[in-house]
Amino acid sequence: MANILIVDDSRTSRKMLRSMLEEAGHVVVGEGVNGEDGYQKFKEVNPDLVTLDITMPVLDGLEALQMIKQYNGAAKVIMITAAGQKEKMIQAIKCGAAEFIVKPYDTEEVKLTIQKVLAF
Amino acid sequence: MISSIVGNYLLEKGLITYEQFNDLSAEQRKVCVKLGLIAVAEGLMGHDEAARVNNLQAVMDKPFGDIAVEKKYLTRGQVESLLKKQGNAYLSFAQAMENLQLMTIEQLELYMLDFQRENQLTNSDIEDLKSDDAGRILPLYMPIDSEKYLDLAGTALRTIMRCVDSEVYPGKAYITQSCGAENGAIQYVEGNPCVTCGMAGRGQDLLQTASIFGKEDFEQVDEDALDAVGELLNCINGLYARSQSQKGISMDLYPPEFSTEIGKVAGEEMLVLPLHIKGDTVNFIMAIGNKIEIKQEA
Repeated sequence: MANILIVDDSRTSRKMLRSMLEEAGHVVVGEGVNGEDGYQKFKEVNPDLVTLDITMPVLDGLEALQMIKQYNGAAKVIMITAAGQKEKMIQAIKCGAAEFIVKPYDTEEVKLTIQKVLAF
Repeated sequence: MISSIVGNYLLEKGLITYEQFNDLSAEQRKVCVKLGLIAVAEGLMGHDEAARVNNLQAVMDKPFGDIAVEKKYLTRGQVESLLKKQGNAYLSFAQAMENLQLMTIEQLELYMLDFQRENQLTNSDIEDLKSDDAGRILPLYMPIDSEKYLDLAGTALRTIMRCVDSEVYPGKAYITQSCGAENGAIQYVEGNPCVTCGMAGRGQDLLQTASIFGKEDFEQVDEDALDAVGELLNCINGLYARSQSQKGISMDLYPPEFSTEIGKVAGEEMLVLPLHIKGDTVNFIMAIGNKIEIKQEA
């Protein structure tokens, strides 16, 4: 069980992910609605893991990832992305993202990816 | 898809009632079994493996058989044998008509000739329709022969079939500079060429799409429901971007925009593909190489 922060501008996406994470026994300690909000919430709740959507307004996922990693280099961040965002995935890896989950969500993939990152 | 197209034609002509049309859909689901179910029943795949392939279809935009072969759950020969067992969608539609004693296949064929004449279709077009293959059916409804528009529309149609309504079917698409709507969502995708696509409707047309995709019972097409429509667009565009990246074209998705108070969606040029989803008509709007925008005034 882990304390997880969800950062995504889509309410639908946050709700789907929250439901999967809670079903897997995790606790969703906060939700951010864009990169800036996500960064602020990260500092407030100090989660075990963050899921960060790449495509967001205000600050996108890559910018938020850099700020989070600068604040806490050990932060575990999983990027959430639509298919077809290969270049952004590569950039995110370079910036310290631990893993990726591709939308639409596959419950099994979400559970396994989170387990893998938490165990690392 | 063929059953929805022909079934709705028969319904419009008053040859079957709405209740019979619904019974027909249910009967056809019994007659036409999904490939994964046949594979499990034949002992070729486990239930978990079939479920995994079904989930992967949503992010890979490929047929069940292709993914099962890629994952080494099935051989190509096994897929071909399963497809034969699954049978042809048009024939299973005809079988469902006979089972419900609505009409014989001979009578159906006569009505198909009327359908062909009224829609000015060739014999080859009818064969494409009967194939029930979205890739072969879609060109019959498109106003231009453009590979890019066909790719995008095909990705949208297949994604909606998988995630919203397996019986979705297209209407005649058209090119315009303005599409009237009351609510909807659009998403811009940067690339060369850039793409904007959207889903727009009137009143509660988008309600079923939003509720099914968002797994939530929305009461009306409000901002939350349109957020779900935006997420559906995000999945469609992501899959399209992936197919383009395999051709060396890099694309970058922007966050979807949505509004409950649209007057129209307008731009230099757009292709509007009406999609019949769960009894409602939703306009799937595409612009390749130019931008379209939501305008408040009609």
